[in-house]
Amino acid sequence: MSSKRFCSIWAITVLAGIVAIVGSSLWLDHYALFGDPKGKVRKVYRSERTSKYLHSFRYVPSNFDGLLLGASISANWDTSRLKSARVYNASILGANFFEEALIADNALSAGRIHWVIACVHPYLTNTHGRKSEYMTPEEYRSALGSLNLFIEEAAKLLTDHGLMTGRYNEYGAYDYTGDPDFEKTHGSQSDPNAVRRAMQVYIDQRIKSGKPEAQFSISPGALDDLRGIFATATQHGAKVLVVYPPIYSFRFEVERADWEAYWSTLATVIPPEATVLNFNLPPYDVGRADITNFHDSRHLSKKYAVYLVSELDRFLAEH
Amino acid sequence: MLFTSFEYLFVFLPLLVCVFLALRRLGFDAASRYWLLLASLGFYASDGWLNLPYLVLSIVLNAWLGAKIVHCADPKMKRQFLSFGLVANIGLLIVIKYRVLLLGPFGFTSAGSVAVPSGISFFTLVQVMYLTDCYEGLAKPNTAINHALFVSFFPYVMMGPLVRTRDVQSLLAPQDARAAALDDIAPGIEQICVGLFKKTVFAQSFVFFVDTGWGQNRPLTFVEAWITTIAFAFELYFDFSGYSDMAVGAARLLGVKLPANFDSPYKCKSVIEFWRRWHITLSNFITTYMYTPLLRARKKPTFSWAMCATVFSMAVAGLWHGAQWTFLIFGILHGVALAINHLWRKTKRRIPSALGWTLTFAFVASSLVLFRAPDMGRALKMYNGLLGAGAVLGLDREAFLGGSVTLVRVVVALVGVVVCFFAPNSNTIAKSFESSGRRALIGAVLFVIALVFMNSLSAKEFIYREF
Repeated sequence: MSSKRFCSIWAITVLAGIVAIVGSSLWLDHYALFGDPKGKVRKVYRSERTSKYLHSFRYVPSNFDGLLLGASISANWDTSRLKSARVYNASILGANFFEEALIADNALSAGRIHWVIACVHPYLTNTHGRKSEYMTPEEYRSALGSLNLFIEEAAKLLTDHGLMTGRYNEYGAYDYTGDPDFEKTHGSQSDPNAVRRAMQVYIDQRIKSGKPEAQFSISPGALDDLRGIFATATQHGAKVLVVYPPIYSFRFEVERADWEAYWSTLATVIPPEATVLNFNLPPYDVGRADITNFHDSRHLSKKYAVYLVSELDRFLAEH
Repeated sequence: MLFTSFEYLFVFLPLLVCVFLALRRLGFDAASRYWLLLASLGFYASDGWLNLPYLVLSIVLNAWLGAKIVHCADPKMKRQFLSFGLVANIGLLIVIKYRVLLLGPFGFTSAGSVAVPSGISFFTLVQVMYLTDCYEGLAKPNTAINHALFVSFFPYVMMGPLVRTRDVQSLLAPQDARAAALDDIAPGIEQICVGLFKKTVFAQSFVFFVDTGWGQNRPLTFVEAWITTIAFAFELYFDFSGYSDMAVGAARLLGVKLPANFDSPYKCKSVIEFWRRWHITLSNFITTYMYTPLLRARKKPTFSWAMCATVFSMAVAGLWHGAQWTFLIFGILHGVALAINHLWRKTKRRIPSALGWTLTFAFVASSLVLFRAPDMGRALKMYNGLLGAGAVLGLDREAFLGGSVTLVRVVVALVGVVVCFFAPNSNTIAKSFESSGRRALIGAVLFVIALVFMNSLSAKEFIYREF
């Protein structure tokens, strides 16, 4: 066989392979990036960071009018229960505001998002910068055919056929109750006594050390990230709602001074036109004192998250 | 620009080859070399324009020195030109690359503020070989343009293979119009496909385990330490040999046959054999330009003198990789291992092949801890794990086996291990090349799979880029 023929066969096969992979990726449009995203239903299956980042380009601005930013604390706030607005829960496990800003910038740039709800917790402001190799502009290209995409597609297929449990809905909310992956690191909520014991250990350690938890230290970069999110929201005509999630009351009493200092620092970056909803104020004391409302020292139980979302809904309707 | 980037594979390389072939076909031989030089300098500058002055300075100086050495009639002067050239080249390398290591202990912390130009370790050695070959009458002096092309040729300027002028005659000597025919394109393409697959599929699959192991703050268990260490040995092999294959393949597209850099080193049953098959062009350089002159420094070299020369040469080879004590110790360790190996051979006793292989692989893999460790402290921690100083069993399954793509990585890594030990290596594949439809299809499939892996995350740097 001539070298010319070798090259032709090689080039045609490569071209056919690329066309097949890119073509099927365009056709399946896993992240609603290529066709008309309006009315499409897209969920997270495996890679939360990649999926939520890519959803933020077209899926979110075309199908939602609000965005909930946060980390695992707000991940199980099922925003599909909100009646006053269609809010996409862009919370990411282990995220900080640098990563959430990447999503916010994409989603807000279309100018169709009316609400930006920021669930602010020390975990998100303790660090600044990228926490993984995901959520880069190259990920957009990866939606045209990559290992991650194929794994996501396989997970979708397994979930659709009941062979795998889907834990995210099309609003981006993640139901971690009973998820072995989540409970491996955060414990199970099935035994409230265990949660109480874990909380007590945390409180005892806090009293013994006499120092605030390291998470309370705020990264200057994180404040800039948050300031940037608020500025982008305002620039695109979106209202800003800052939410301070509820803290178990006994823990809160031990750390009251730390929390108040934290909020006063945060107040310096919150724009005057923004609204603050603090779930640690007296009207919410009863719920915060109930250990069954918590999954561990900081995450909320499913039933408390449902209650919280109903409060959020009432608030959004009023504003 | 990385060999594993889309812009290289789909824009730079095809454009370069097409224009080059067109110029050659039209009989513009000189123009085709100017084109290659321009593209090579552009390729080098794509890593940072500020690197270019170092390369240009090195080219101009050595082209001039090469001519002086060859045309000088006085042997004493000739030797002085060579000495000046060697001191200038090695001196520049030391000043730029090792200033922090040398001046750091004396408090000159600002010494590290100047960036190290890409590929300086490689092109400096190429220049040293050129000057020495000129001195010994093994090479004719290059014209300025030819020398610039010889040194900056894009397939090897960054990370080798280390070449001598005689290796790349087809690049430098005038060619007739038909010389660069399509015949070289097919094997070149195949070699690029193999190299790209090795780097993006195999090497990247081991990266996960390596990064996980080295990323742990706690002491690793014996099992975890060995998984991390062996994974790095395979990552380094697939990374660098994949790069070398791509370099050899790219040069072949232009009708230039570069020397091979690897020959299944992990199949070796002794350290002596290992160094004949690992980073071959560097081993050759060390043997020819360091070990042999050291040996000749004595009229009657003894065995112990030869072993001292071995340890010294290997220590320098280790240090060549970077300005860190870990590299120096890596070199000394291998030098001592080579000396022991030679001593063992003198006894004429034989050990079973399986034992020889196990000892060699375990030694090489564990010595590479020094290659990966950011400092001696971290290296010692890893050695604690390798020696079972802490827990022996136990594997953090969440860290090592968690994550959505891990299963794929595990399977691919295991396939990589099998390929490394049982499949024909790149040299065998290249030597047995035949232009057939089956091989074109296999090459294309490897290329497409590699593209999918390449597109999965941002392209990773080659490990040797740091050296």
